[in-house]
Amino acid sequence: MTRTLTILVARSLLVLLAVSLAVFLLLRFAGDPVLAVLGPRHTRAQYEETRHSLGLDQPLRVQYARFLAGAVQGDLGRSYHHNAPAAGLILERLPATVELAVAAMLLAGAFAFPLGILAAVRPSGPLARILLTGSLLGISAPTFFIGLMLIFIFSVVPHVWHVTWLPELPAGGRIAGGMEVPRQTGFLLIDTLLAGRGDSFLSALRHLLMPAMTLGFYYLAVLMRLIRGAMIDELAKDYVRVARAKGLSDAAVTVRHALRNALIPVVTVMGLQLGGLIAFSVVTETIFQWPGMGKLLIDSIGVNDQPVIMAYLLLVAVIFVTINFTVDVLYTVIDPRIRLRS
Amino acid sequence: MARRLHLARQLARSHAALAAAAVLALMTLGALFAPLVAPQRTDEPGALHLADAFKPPMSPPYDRGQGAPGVYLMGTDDQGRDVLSAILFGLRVSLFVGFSVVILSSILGTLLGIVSGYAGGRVDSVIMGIADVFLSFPSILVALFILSVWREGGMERLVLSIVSVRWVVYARTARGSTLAEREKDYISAARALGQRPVRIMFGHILPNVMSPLAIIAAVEIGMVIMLEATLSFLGVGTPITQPSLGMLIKNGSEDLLSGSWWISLFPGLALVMLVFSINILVDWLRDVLNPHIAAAESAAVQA
Repeated sequence: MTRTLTILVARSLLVLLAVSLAVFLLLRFAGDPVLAVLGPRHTRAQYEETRHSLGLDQPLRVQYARFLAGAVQGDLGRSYHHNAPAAGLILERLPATVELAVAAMLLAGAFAFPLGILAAVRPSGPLARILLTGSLLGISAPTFFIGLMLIFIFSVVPHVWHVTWLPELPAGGRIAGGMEVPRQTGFLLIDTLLAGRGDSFLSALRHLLMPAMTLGFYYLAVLMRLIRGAMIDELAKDYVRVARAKGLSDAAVTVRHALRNALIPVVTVMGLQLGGLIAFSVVTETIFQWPGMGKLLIDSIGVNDQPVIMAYLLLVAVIFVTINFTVDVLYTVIDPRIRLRS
Repeated sequence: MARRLHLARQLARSHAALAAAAVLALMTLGALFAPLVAPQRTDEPGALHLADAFKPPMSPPYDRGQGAPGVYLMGTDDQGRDVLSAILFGLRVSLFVGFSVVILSSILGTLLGIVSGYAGGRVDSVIMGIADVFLSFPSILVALFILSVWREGGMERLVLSIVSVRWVVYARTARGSTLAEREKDYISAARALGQRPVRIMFGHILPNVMSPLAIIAAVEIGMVIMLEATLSFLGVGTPITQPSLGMLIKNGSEDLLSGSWWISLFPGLALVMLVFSINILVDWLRDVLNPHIAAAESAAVQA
């Protein structure tokens, strides 16, 4: 166990080190950092002075060591565009992204479980075939197109053609103007409740609905297929036959016995997917003008704000490595037969 | 030959796969011959009429002069560009990126995977270490970062960025298969005969690890086309002069809110249809080929 843990920690640190080195080299050699600070108008002396004050005249090893020391202490450089610490800019927007990702995951799970189970009970029935084709279509439709279609149906059609039977949903932002509440946790659904504003809470919920559907759609399709597969495996096992022979009803066998065992692989994958949700929130946030860290990334790429881009990469690397590490550890705890090859 | 006939007969039996193959063939032909079949040469700026901007589907053009299409079947965009023609030219770009990425990344990944698996030791650790770092992150993020640093360039910039994140898929599988293959008797025999490692790796091992790689490559085509579309939608993909389907959707998305739905809806539907039919075909192909692969493997084990 200790040996396994040591290997896992070492591997995680190695990945982080590799990413930090890549980020450092990219920051250093993609464009001149001195020019980024000084701008195009400067004298030779000013250039040399800035170069010295930034430490760029030091050997590369020393520069990397300093960069690493700064990164560990949370100093990931300053944004050229916002003139503020890059790490702070990203952390400030983290709650918005996490709120979106969690909502998407809950929404996807709420639909994926019943549908996946239905498609597993009669694996080649007509319902299962419709659901499987639907999920393949869901996997084939890019996130951004789903988002645009939702905006079209729930924002454009009701508004432009005055279709009143369709519910109209907001297509951008996190809350309606005038409904804002003071920031406490950064999670708007929690902040509005803490402020005791029911109307603000509903507004935030309405704003969250379409982005969460967009982000969750792909995962709904993936999860449904996964749940179906796991359930078919479980339903074919001996203990299910025993339970049926005992005279238990179909529903009891499916939900109380098979589902419980099928949950283990499904929950693992759901955990792993949380990282993917954060990655794809880049797309969703861009479509819905959602002020999270994904939109910050795209905006920063647009104005070539390198410190922010690289800080995002490092922070996301930490998130991903943590998720992978946790899953690996959980695996070895749950099933001691899983041993890592040295 | 018999195998190919068998495949054709299987295809005729599955209605979904047959329909998907027909759609895919139609779209590929339309893309290939876009300069001939498109109602408007959207790749030539002179062909556009600003007076024809924002025409809804099925409207006639303002000027029925030379080169103007008879009717704008799918409407026009903000520049008076025929949406149907733009889709045909956009399909060209999407398919070109999809296939070039799959070809290049499968060659690179297979090469590195076989070398890694056959050489073992330090070479293996370095190659798989790099692959592990890439696999720790979603492709879309890694590609975004490469494109955010490599800012200047045309189509090669996009293709190579996606290749650099997708080679790992082939490398891992190729390495795994090579590890299994390396221990077999015919490889020991080849080594005993004094054959050079290059000959053993690419003359003997490569043909025997190809089948799973071919299926991965098929899955990757749809995947890469979606990845390219997403990057282009985010504004870091194809150059403005060669808009892919993703960029057409992005351009149209700005007019969606004012009710001009056709500018982004039709390219979007074309993209979904393209990827959907590829995925149906791949699913079908996997089902048909799987018994063969399984049978071949068990035969090899018994032999």
